[in-house]
Amino acid sequence: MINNDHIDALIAREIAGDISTKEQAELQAWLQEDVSNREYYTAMKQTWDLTADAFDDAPEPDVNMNWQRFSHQMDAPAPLKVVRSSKSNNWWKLAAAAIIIVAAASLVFTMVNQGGTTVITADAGKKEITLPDGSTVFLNRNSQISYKKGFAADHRLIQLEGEAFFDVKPDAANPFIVKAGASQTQVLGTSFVIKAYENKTIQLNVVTGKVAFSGKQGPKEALVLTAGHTAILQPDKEPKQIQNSDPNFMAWKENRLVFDNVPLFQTLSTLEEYFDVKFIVTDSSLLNIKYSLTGNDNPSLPRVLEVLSETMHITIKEESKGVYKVSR
Amino acid sequence: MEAIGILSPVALGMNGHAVNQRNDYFCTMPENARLQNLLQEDERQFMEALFKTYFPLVCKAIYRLVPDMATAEDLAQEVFIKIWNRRDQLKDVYFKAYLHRAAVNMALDHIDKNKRRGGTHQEISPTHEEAQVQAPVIHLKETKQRIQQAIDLLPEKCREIFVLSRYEEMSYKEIAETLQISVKTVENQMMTALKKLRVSLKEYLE
Repeated sequence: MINNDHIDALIAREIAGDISTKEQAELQAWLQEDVSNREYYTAMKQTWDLTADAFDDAPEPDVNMNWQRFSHQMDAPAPLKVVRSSKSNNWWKLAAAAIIIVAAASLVFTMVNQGGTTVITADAGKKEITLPDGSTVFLNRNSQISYKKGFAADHRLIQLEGEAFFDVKPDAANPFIVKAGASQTQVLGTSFVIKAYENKTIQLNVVTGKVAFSGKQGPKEALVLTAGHTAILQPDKEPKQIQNSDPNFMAWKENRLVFDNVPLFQTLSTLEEYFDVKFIVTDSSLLNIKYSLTGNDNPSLPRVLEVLSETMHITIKEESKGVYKVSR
Repeated sequence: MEAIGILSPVALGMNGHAVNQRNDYFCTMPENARLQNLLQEDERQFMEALFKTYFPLVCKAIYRLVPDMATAEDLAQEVFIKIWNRRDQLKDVYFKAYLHRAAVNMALDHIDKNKRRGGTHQEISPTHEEAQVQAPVIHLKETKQRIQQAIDLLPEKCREIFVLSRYEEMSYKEIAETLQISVKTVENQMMTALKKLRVSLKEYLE
């Protein structure tokens, strides 16, 4: 049997096209010596050839989704280590209830009636509101809804900026429509969630029921989504359905956080939004460590950070108000 | 503290020349020039163009070394984060080669870190993979999958070397430098890989 390190090295070089003329001649001479030499070489060469396209069927990454994830991180203060800073990275579930968000910052919860338009805003606190038609709206911080005179009587059109959850009273004759940014969501069933910040990707999650989600092309081109499904609307594009795996899309409403084997960056993103804080991670190798934690019943930030540091053997220190540094 | 640099100074200094004699690295010059122009004009647009052009290349290169798509995507994101953080140092960079090398380094770093952490290579369960390799073959697609599985099953260093040579088109010298081992070891491991693959893929080679 052949066990010649030198010949092996020559074959390795020849196969990878990394061989000198002199070495090539030496290899040829060896091949001429015996048929078993040639068989050995052929076996190695065939194996090499066989593996040429082994990875041709490798899964294709979703470039747009990845770009979306990446571009949110670009907004972080330099150097870029914070996983996210923009609220628009959230995932929305649409269902028998709807949450809609558009960029807006206003005063403490207020309700004003200006020239026939009712404007309801929530600033520091979250607010639950019952609309004239009996539908319920749960407004997140820094969010606002407005509707015009005649709501419930002859229309059910809501304008949203920021983030809100809508639990809609069924009324087939009078469709419930939420406009947020370039998107329009019409409730076909009972409830849904939408989130839309100005110039950012809008996301919609169906929790229960059925919703028609449309962009600039209007309701005729609407995407119909049923419970458990998610869609996004990117600026200047049409809605498209995506996979949503974030169980925390309604965390702010339910006062509950669930992390089931998710990478740390995702946990931190959710916490940033939930507690309205920022994290700075200096060691990017931490970001992909998977992690599980459930915080029921209105978990407090100190408690969550305590558990996080203990479990992951990391240090989380408040550097300035609301800004936490995460390190090993 | 700076994050552990996948773009080591070695990789950074390598503005294409070290590797572009190999076909795979030929980046169409107009494309590179376009990206360089964008970089001067509008960083965000540059980043978007760069990302959308090369994310699949980066992601797939990582996937060949870390055969789990979710992990590969996470690592590819990190590659681009590092690029973004170094955007003021990219003036003479040949992006395709640069990104490819960054992807390889990122994947190798990940493998090393995983090992040091106790080797929970949770993406691959060897018994599971082994069972799949035994499955009967019918389609070409399946053949490719089984070849890929056979590669995944190679001993770690052996697999790294084989993948770097076979798919990342790195020379033995480049591989030796990257992995900080001798060229002789690289060649030995290449032959070991081929011998092992020959056994595990015997039925396709008769």
